[in-house]
Amino acid sequence: MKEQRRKRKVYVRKKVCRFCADASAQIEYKDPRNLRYFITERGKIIPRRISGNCAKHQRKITLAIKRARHLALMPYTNFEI
Amino acid sequence: MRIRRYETVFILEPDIEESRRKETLERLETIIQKGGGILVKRDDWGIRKLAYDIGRFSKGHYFLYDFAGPSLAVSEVERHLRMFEVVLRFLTVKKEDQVSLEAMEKVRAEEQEKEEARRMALQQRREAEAPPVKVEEAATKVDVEEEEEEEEQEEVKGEGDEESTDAEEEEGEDLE
Repeated sequence: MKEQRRKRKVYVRKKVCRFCADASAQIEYKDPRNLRYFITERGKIIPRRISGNCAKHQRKITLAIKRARHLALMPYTNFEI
Repeated sequence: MRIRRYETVFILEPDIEESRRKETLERLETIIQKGGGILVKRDDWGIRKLAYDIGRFSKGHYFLYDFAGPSLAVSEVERHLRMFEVVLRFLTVKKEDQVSLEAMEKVRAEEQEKEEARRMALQQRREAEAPPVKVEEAATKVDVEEEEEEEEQEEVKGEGDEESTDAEEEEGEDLE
């Protein structure tokens, strides 16, 4: 039991926002390749609790994805999968 | 009047004639100038596949205009983009909240220099890649020489269209 709990603790460990960790990483609506990491296969934006982004950068990503969608650089939905 | 720096991306229909495309772009540029702005950089992303169909199109020709000007210039540009029938989509984003036109002139000059340097590098690389092709095509040497002459003529023009040189190189490969 004890061991299981410990393992679980490791699993739930707080993720670090990748944009806070790496200041050089830019969030750009013109670069859908990097944004693709933050949407599901169906094209939905991955929530913060899963992606581990901080609020500030999640906001920026969301805005960038929405802009990219408007310009048809990214899909609104993807039915193929 | 407050001058801001903006960035407009727009998508044109992919299959319109060259002349019509040029006319549209030129008109947009004059609109920016008339609105009291200057065009800092013009970027052609080329024809890309759209993430979803827009109307009957699955591909689009993307352009990016980086310009500085008063808000009036933006509303004029957007009004015209809405009117042009060949424009599928557009998006304007504010890049900097306060800039001076003089500073932007400088940035434009720098960008033009960079563009020039990039074109030169591309040309040099092409020239560097050319010799191996010559060796491989020893049998059809006459043809190769003819093609080279054509390429040189384009280089003299300076503004040599990138696309057309590409097409010629592809032809050369087909001959192998």
